[in-house]
Amino acid sequence: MSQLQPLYPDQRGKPIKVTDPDHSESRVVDSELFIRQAFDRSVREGYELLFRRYYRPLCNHAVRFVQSKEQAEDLVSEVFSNFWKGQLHLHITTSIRAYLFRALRNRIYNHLRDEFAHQRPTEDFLMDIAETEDPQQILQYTELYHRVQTVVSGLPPQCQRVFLLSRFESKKHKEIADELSISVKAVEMHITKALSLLRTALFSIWLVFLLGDLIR
Amino acid sequence: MDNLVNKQLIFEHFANRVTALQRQMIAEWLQHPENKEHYYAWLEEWENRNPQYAIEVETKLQQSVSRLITEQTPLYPQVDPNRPNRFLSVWQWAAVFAGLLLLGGLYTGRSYIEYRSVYTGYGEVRQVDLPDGSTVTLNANSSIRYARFGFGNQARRVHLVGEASFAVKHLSNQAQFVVSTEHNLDVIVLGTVFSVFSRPRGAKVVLQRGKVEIVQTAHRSARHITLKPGDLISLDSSGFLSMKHLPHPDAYAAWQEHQHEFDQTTLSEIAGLLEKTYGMQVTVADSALAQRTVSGTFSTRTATELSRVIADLLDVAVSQKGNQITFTKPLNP
Repeated sequence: MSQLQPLYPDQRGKPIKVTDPDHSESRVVDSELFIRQAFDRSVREGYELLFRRYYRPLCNHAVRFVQSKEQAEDLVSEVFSNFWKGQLHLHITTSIRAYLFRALRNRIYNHLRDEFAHQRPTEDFLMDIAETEDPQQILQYTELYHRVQTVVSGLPPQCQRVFLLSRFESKKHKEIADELSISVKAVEMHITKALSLLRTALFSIWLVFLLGDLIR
Repeated sequence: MDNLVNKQLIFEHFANRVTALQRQMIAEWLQHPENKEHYYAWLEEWENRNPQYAIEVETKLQQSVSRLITEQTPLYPQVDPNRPNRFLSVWQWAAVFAGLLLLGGLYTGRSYIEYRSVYTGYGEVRQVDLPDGSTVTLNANSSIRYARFGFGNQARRVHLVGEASFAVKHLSNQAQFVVSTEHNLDVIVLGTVFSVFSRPRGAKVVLQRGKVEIVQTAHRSARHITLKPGDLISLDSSGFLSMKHLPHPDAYAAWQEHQHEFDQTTLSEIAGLLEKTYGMQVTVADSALAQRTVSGTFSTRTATELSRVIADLLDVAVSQKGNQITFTKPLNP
């Protein structure tokens, strides 16, 4: 597993010198104290605070993978409602933030695998709580959205425009055709092309994940 | 190696700008559970700093909460399957069903009933009168939420997203007025005029008159800071607080005085606005005059300017002495 190469090392990267030690480190965990106290008073109050604090960064994160506002927000909402239903504030041992990001990224992974690799998603209610997460997996999840982004930004301009209108804005093919003054047929063609490029790109990642699972 | 992996490097990694060697370093660094916490804390910060699109939180939260509350349905009658079926007529069942529907509806609408929210769109500035007589001037693309009932009985709490100025009325029961923001920053008012700014990139509080106290609630020992007029306090997205003194604090609230929107607004209402917003004492000579209306949007900075524009429109006379403004019928019609 440790032999695994990064999927696309970046040439721009330079060694980085450390000059400023970060001040926020000491606060990483206890900044949630307030939210935990609110959960002690009432689940609803805690939930509201939690939602207000993390909904936005989580959606922002999810949309990088799924490239769709609607899907991103649905996935994030599922993570939150699962948290409420399972009363997870009583069970998790990491910070709530770490839990939320981990659960979201697991969901996203399953969702994309379902969409692009046509595999049945595993029932991941329990997977959400799993706290063992090895470094390679964390990095691979991050690299998953890098890969999506690389594919999308590499699409020809018109194809990219159509793809984002359809997927990010959830517009109908007809609306997009009218907006860009092209035929519905052309819209469908662009979308098919974008999706097949994504599928090819992500497929190599599934292989890597799969190998990782086998070696582990 | 630990000191080589810092926030900056992790940010580079999020932005897909690290080398294979750096990636290896990060992987080793992530072996420590504590560093995983740092990783996600920085991820949160990075996502907050690099918004991908405008995300609406408040309505989604209300939807989520009401859905979760209705799903819990603790209201169903417990039926023991072993017991012989009781005979309820169709109509009785219908009544039970209707009752459940009604309760469900009440539950779903609870947050709507409990709280009132006011939103402004882009380029829209709006004045909101709170039940206790305080006024909030809401800048564009902002919202406030406050309890519909009992506001002012005990604590007065207003949740703000965006930017607003507050003119807080002092109550005889000494009820606290608290403005809470998404930055875990609470402003406790000790009587007064001030502006609060709470956007994703940070929060700011400027005090124009009176005295307020700032509480950073996210902190272990909630930090209290008392402001004097002209003090500006800023909180950036990483939670760092800073304070400085401004020579002209009103400039920070200038947006709110640029625009007044009137739609069939009577002169007596405008008089009220002049009194509340500018602290003028306004007299309207006769009651027929007070009922005349004005519509339109006016950009005026001062009470004098506004009263002159209104007088011109209504073709009436206006005079001002100090903070006394008087509208009268012209002498020669």
